[in-house]
Amino acid sequence: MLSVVGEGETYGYAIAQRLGRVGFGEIKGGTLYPILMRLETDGLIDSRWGEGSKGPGRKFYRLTDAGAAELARRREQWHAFTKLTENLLNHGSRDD
Amino acid sequence: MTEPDRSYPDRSYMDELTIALRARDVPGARIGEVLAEVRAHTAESGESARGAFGPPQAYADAVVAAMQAHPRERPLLLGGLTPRLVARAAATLVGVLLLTGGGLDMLSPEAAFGIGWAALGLVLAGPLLVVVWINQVGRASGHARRRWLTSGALAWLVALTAVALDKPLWHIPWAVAIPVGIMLLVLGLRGLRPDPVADPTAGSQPRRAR
Repeated sequence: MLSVVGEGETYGYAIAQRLGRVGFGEIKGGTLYPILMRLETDGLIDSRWGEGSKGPGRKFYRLTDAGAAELARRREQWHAFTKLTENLLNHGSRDD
Repeated sequence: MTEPDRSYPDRSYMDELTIALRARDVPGARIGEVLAEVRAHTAESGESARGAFGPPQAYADAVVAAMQAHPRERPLLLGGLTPRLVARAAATLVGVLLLTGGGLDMLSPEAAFGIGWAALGLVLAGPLLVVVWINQVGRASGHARRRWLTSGALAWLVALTAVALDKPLWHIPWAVAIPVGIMLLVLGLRGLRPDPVADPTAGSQPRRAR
């Protein structure tokens, strides 16, 4: 979620669609907004209300400086984890 | 800032969600944000509010959990109400009972009004009655002030009947009952301060939500 918001200012439904396109399946509003709210409570993202193309306005989200730092930290952790896992799967049996 | 759009198709869902958030002591400004998010998301996705966000009570729980800076175990909830709201309801009820009994005692000392068994039962069952009332009858309105005023009026009528008709269990001097009753009422009704649900999308200028 942080990564999607990190791509540029965006809004709830667009985030759900973006996650759906990359293979996370259908993200319901009841799942999406509490996570965004949590990230906002933690100061990792910021929001503002703006005009929407359909009906009542859109709430736009963007990464804060703290959010960008957290995203970089989590990205690094994730890369380290996937590298370890990949090494284990590819070479683990040779070390036995 | 104005009241939310009343022409929204899922109005009953919004009312139920408003009540559920109010019962969890969520501030009006935050409730406005949550309702606006539901309206905006369903307008974009074409889903129903219930289909996209699930049952109002469950979604209200998720909102409350997300609002907490440091998530912890959910506090004990009674009928969806926070312990603080239940305590306020109990204080209001006991305050009304003492004020009513004390007032009657002061006006007619020879009648020897007191707190009887029915009134005692009412004190014990009162918070539960208020919980049931807010969760059932209260669904028709999302406005906390009207809900509390109506529940206060109901409590007053029931207390008046109980105190007037019941045989005294023990006598409480009006000089004690009235000051204590006023103190409890003040404590119980502190939640009556205006805290309207405001629509963040209603202003002409976009603003930061935080």
